[in-house]
Amino acid sequence: MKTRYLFKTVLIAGLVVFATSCDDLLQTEPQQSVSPEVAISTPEGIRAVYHRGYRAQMFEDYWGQRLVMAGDALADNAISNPVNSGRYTAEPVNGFGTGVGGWNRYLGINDINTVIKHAPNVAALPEAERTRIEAEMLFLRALAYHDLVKVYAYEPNKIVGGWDRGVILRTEPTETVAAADFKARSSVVEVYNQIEADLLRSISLFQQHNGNGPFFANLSAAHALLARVYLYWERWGDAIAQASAAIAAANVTVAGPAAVPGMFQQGPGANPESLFELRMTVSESLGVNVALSAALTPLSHYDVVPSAEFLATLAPEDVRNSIYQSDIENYPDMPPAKSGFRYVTKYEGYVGTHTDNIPLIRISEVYLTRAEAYAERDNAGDAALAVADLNRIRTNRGLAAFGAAPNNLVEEILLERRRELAFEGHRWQDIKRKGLDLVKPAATNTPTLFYQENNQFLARIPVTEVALNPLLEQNPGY
Amino acid sequence: MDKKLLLVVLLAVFALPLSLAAQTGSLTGQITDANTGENLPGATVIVEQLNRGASTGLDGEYEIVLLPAGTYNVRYSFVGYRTQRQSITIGTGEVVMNIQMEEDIFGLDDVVVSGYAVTTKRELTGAIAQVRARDVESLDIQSPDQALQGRAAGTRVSNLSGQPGGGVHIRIRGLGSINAGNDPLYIVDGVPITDVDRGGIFGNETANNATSNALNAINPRDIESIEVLKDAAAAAIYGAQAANGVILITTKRGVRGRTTFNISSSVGIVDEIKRHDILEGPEWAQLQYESFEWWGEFVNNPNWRTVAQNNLGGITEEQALAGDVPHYDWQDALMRQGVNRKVDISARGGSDQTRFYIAGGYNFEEGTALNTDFQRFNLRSNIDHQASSWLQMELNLNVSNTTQNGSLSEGFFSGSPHFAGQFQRPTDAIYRCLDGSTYDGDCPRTYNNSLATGFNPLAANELDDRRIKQRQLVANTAFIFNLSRGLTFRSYYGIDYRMTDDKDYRSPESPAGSGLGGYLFEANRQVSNMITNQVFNYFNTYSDVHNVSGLAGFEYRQEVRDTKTAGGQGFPSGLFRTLQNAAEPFSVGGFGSEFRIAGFFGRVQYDYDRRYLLNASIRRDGSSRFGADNRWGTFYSGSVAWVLSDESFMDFSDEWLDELKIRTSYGITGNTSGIDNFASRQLFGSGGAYINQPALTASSLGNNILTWEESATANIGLDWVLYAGRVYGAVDLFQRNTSRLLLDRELPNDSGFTSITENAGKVRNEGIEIELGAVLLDMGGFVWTSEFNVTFQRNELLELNNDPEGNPVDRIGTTYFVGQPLTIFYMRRYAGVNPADGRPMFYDFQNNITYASSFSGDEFDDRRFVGDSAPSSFGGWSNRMTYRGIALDVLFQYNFGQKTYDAFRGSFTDGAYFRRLGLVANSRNRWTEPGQITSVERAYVNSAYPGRSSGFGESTRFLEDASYIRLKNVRLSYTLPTDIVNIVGLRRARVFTQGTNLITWTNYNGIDPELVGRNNASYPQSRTITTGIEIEF
Repeated sequence: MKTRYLFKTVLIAGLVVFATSCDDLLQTEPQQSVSPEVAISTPEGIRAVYHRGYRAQMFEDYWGQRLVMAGDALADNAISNPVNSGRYTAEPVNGFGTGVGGWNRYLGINDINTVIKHAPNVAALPEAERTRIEAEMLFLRALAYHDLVKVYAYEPNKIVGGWDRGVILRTEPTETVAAADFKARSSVVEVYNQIEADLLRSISLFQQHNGNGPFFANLSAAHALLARVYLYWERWGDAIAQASAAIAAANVTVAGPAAVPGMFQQGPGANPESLFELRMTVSESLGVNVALSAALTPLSHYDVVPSAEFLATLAPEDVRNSIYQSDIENYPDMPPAKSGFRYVTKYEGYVGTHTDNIPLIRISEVYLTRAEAYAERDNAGDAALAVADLNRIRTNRGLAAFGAAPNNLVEEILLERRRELAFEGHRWQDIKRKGLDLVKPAATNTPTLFYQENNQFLARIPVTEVALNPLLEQNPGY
Repeated sequence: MDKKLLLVVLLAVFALPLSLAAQTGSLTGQITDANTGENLPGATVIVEQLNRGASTGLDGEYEIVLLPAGTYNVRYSFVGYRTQRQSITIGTGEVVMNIQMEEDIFGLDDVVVSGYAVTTKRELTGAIAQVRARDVESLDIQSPDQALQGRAAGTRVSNLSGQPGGGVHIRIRGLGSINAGNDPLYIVDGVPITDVDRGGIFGNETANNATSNALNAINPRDIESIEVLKDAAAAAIYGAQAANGVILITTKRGVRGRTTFNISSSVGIVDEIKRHDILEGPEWAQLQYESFEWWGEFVNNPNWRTVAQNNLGGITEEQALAGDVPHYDWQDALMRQGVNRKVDISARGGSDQTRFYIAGGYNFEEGTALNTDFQRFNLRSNIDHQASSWLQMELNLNVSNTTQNGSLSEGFFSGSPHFAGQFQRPTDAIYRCLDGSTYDGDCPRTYNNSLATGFNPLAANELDDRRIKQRQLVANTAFIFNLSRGLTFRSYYGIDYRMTDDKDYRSPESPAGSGLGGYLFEANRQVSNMITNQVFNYFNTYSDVHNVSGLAGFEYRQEVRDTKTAGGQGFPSGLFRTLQNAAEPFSVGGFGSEFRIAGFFGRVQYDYDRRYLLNASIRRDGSSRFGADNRWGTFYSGSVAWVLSDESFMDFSDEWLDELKIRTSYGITGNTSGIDNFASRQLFGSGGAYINQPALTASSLGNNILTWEESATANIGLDWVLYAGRVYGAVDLFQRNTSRLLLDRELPNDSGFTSITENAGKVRNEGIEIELGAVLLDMGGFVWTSEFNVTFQRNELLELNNDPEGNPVDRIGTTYFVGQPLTIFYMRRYAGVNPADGRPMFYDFQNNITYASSFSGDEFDDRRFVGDSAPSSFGGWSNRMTYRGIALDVLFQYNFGQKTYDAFRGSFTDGAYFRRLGLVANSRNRWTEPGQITSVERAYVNSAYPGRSSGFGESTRFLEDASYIRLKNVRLSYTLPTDIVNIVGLRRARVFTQGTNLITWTNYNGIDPELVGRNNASYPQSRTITTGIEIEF
């Protein structure tokens, strides 16, 4: 009898595993991931997706590298280092299909759409934070769509050959497989209308609860971005108004000449002119292959150097000369064949190894935007206002002020933009939005690109996407 | 539904008539060889109905006590002898049964381990290949799976890496999957073993480059047998995990009798199997001048000599022509002759109640690349205990500590010595004097870093530290209850717990580390795998001829993975190698994941007089990986066998035919291994951080109907055994149709997602397996036995998924094509060089010569199907010759009809990508004068070759037939005469010497034809020669 008792006990112990229902046994929860319910309905979840909105801007194909510098190489500010890693060799010679790119920006837009849709319904978020989060995400969505449309489409008033296609607009998050459907490109004007609407709503929300600049979107940055959009749209009066509002709301001013050499070297701190700046931490660094410092400095591949033509625009007294330094003096161990250039020191691992903050909107740009809008509108008195804004930059960069408006005022302003905003994502877009022909640096041995004739002013949409989506029209010439 | 089943099982347990008899008796006796009368120690006696047994001791005697009264079938078996069955009635006293056993070469009654039970070859209805201890334990291998090579039909085994402790590529009956993986399920004493996920850390853990082997913890010497379950009849009991076949590894157990100690020790040398002949400095420089001269002509640059001189580090044309150019042998500097050492000690013995096998092993093997080695310590303890007449317990413990030092990164990386040694100019010095002058052997030296590549691989190898440390515990315990006659219940618990510590240290003085002041990356991974199963086994014989057996059980498995990583940079010097010393920590990571599987399974076996055999199994599996709407699946198999030789119409053959059996089976198995643990779920995953605030991103869309890949396998086999097991063989024909492949369907990226995984598509594998064995010669004490096997296989992708418009997709990129094998090569066809001007030529889509191939992906695409990386046939031939104490084992292993793309040799042939660096001897065949017929184009300075749009690219030029026959293993041993060793108190003493990978016959020009697919500078295998001694007392 004793053995029977013992046997029963052991058997029962052995069968404990049966005790729970089997479907419960098979229930596992991921540790790195959360269900959609958690992500969209709790404050912690929404905040995390919101942070992704910023993080998603910072990869190699977007502001982490290509949006900042590919345009300078495609235009006239940069050439390839003859000894290179094979990267950025097609851009300076405008190889077929080489554009700024960044189509996959949509992956980030989806998360932004998630926050915009769901954040207002998260009652547990404080009202002020809810408002601010929505305003910031609207700003980021406007930024992303403007970055896409300026790369893949003509500006509304600079359309060539009637090609008025913009980009695909998605303002709702994709939450089911069925929602991942095929969409066609909206027109350029539809895209601009969406960007304008997002920014106007962002501004009105920021006016209730402002963002925490410059590392997060804020009122001044939203005005400045809208000014930029109007400038591309050639709505001069609106551009002037928004630029003025940005300046009024800004808590930074144009840096003086003495501050220029160190302006980009603030370590983890912000550029003293930044209205909006992406803060890169060491743990999120893009690393030795694709960080900005990898391409632009001898710290790594050092594939891209400023063109002689660009450096020639800097007069000897221009304090911005200090931004372009001799590679062999700073890095004496460099191989001779790869050195002998002045390199860009705007991103040289100031936060940490291959880690730099990326200023997206500086106050200098806003002044130059307003100057150009004044000069283009050219109402009575506008020229003088344009010169005043232009002089604000010139005098702070060691250059003499213009007394009266020069004959070629718009050209002077564009030249100043080239000098001031080089390697910050503007040069290629400025040439394109003005419809100018692009004269390439001599070292690239590449013929002039004529705006009316050359399809390469629009980037190629990834061929795999066009092949997959029958509604997606490729840009002409590809 | 499943709860009901559970209830039934529970009721069955408690409703059992627990008729445990109070009355017991015992069975004893002595077992001897029928011919010689010698005692047979280690023979097995099994009381079949009780599934209880004992082994004979040194004196050949056995005893089984505490047997409930009754009549039993008792089975007497011993490896190499024919099994006998006796019907014995036990009362209250002692029954004595002495047995004389006859020799049997084939071993028709040898035990074969199948899922959750054992059977014999005689009773098999499915396709199972077996490798026994004597084939495994003495080999020069680090992991037991390597022993299957050339020995198991239908099982293709390739050593992927010559890195000691590296991975083995095993494909059982072909490839069934594109994304879900093709590795079999490995089970060691009931515990499933899975490898650590090392993706992304040491770079390139791919199908072709596996740096570490999942079974490294298991000492081959501890193996009793390895069974390969090939068809559905054998494997379906493992359900959703069995589609790629199952490999069951069983370790040795104790035997009753005086404790036997066995000590084996060996030492050996490890050599490179082959080395590429390379161009030495002077010849290399001449070639470079030749290429610059033509470049000068082509671009009309009269200063080409100056350009060349600048590019060649100042070597002038005069020096080149005069041979006044230095040569440095980088291969010599990076490669070496290694040594290996092995010591194994075991003790085996036991009493009637308790038996044990206790063993410890040390294995150290150096690779042929500098600073690569493998080291393992392991301890094993396998205990069996008979607690009472109704309770038996088992405990197996294996603890191991393995360390792998070395390259850990193969392929085209500067960290791989096999690549980096070639990726250097032969004119670049390896060392320089500390004062900067040329090193001539006299001055204090340091590494020369002023190299064309800027990377001194010797410095990297000697200064850096790359290491995998693994501590692993594999343990399992079982309680076996004899519930009543013929019915047992086995309660089993197993764990596989492993901790690995991967370290990647780059010294601040080394080329890779200097830019960052040195860096260190460490990853600590833990895998904890828990399994339990509760199984009822039943066996009975009715009316002497109706044999019924069956099992029913439940299994639950849980696997948890946990990884932590940390990195730092900025070390004061190479003396500091811990994260504590890093000036700047730069990355911290963590990762965890989990999956669970639950299954109910059962099997019924019936045979009539061992003449007509039926077998059916079923398993219902649920997995946490599947979509919520598709969580449970049913897998099953059925098989029948007919032993013709037992029929009366075959009576004429009784004199010489032992067995002739026809088997056939059909069944369904599943494959879940490639499904990500949470692939079916809509999730927000980690999206990095912004200003150190964590971010989440919508990482996947849910697919609630996602499920396993399914294989339906049909098998027909014929077994024969003749002349008392002296001639035997088997033929199997199989077809395996895999459906519901896991495929990614692309989504438009503007949706925020790039793809979704879904079930679609079909693959077919079919083949013939033939095994032949015979005693070829048996004269005057000289015995030669020989076993040969060959497998013919074919694979075809039948179907993929549909495109968004519903039309069938016929390819995935340029890798997988409907109507072709999964392992097809799709490439341009090389047409040699134009004899007139030395330009490389290719065939275009119309079979005309072209210099600029089209890769348009449509009908104008010049690429064609040009070969298959899987062999059309493979197998092995093993031989054993014995004469008195001398034994010679010889194993040949072969693969035919496979092609390998030798990317390595292609890259270092002039005309290819790395042409300005080291070149292999093939460059000597280059075109130099009009009219010359050759396959290597004229030397030119870079890959943009005049008159050719793209330079180096994959073509059939370096796609070679990699068929081979390899003399895999030769082992010569001499067992000293017993009367001599007895004098010094030993029972047995043996000396042996053996060689591995001794000779290879092949037309392949690369280093090792065994590599699978593409040779991207993989670590080649080595040739080892070892000598050792084994004693037993």
